[in-house]
Amino acid sequence: MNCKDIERDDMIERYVAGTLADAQRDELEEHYFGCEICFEKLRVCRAAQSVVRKDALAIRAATGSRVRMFPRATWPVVALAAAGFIAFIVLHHSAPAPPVAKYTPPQTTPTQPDPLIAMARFDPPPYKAVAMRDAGSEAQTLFKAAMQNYTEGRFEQAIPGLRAASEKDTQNTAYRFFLGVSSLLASQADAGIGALQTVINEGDTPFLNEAWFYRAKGYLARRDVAAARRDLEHVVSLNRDLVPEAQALLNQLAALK
Amino acid sequence: MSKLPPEGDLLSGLATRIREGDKSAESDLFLFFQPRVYEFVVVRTGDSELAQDLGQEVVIAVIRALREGRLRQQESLKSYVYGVARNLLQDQLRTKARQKLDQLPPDFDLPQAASQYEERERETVARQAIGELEATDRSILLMVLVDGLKAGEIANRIGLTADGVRQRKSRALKKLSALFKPAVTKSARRTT
Repeated sequence: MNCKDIERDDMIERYVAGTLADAQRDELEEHYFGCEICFEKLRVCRAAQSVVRKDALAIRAATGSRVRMFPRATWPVVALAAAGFIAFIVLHHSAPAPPVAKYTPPQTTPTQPDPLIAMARFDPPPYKAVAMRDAGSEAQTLFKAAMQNYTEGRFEQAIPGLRAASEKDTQNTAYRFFLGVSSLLASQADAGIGALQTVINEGDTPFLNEAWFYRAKGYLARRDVAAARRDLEHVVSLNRDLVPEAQALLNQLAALK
Repeated sequence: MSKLPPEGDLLSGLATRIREGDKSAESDLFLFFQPRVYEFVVVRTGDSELAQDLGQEVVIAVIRALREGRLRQQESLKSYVYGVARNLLQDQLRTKARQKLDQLPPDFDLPQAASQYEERERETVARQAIGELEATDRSILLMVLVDGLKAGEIANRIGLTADGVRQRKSRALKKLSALFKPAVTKSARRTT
């Protein structure tokens, strides 16, 4: 491996993002231990990463309207689905069919937000680092690093560390709670529901109430209204935090009928 | 860019000088490798406190080995330091309680280590440069450095070609690099 290979294959950027294969990562590390140019590029990339990670929400919001939700390759599928939906509406209404020329591509068609998906959204529950009984353990080190990603909005990147921490220390409820929440925030509803289920199974822990609440959010994302309602009713019956939020969601679900 | 000579010249010379008892060579070795160990540990663990401690511990272990002539002649110094860094990091992750080195051993007189403070300074410079970029370029940096997407994937999302994405990314990083240069040169001057 030399500087040219590294530049050509964007290895430093991939290294910083944590997507380089282990063997390449080791080779790159050994290389920059002796190379001034690659080491300085690494420092630049790390500083840039730190800034854009902290500003991730603002950057995504600023460019959100210009960034496609689906890769270009899937657009024909999305366009077909949208055309099918329009055809369905047309067939079920007596109004005359709109001329084909008026068809608008999906990326500019204003769509009504799906109420269930809107209800499934939530702000990440705050995390405050506290001294833990296992401070210094491998699981705690993994957790700490993962929670840095979490607090900076990189939920998908937080998941592997949280999963590894949960596997190394199966007794720590916080690891599994934040694994569940991060999975939901990364649009991995099934994984999130599964992790929160293990928190609920533990019974009365400081995370019980929130686990019911956020699992309900997972069910909403999965459009499983009955399960979401059941979890929200649990939150109300526990009568701790999040009762107003749970009640508001129950009211919204009732209004959807 | 730093005026440091290539590894072969600088580092092999350092190993010899340290073996011969040259204290300034120990400082040079520390200034060269401690920041590398720091970055290595931060990327691997995300723990800058651990990175600062290990950066120091690794270089001290290497200097001890060099003083005692334990580095084989044909062995590359950078590979040796990297090996020590990997081993100490693995030991650290396996150890239950953290063995924190509060102060330097009495037989060491080393310069100030690269630290979280310097990292924050670099971040300030980066923030200024990134603030001046176009929104699309900021978004590309986010997708490359945080989301770990490839140029082709980003191109699909933002409607550019993969080459266009690469060019924009390189231009943005070069801009940052140019702002970093004065700081790098200053740091290199300290080592000579």
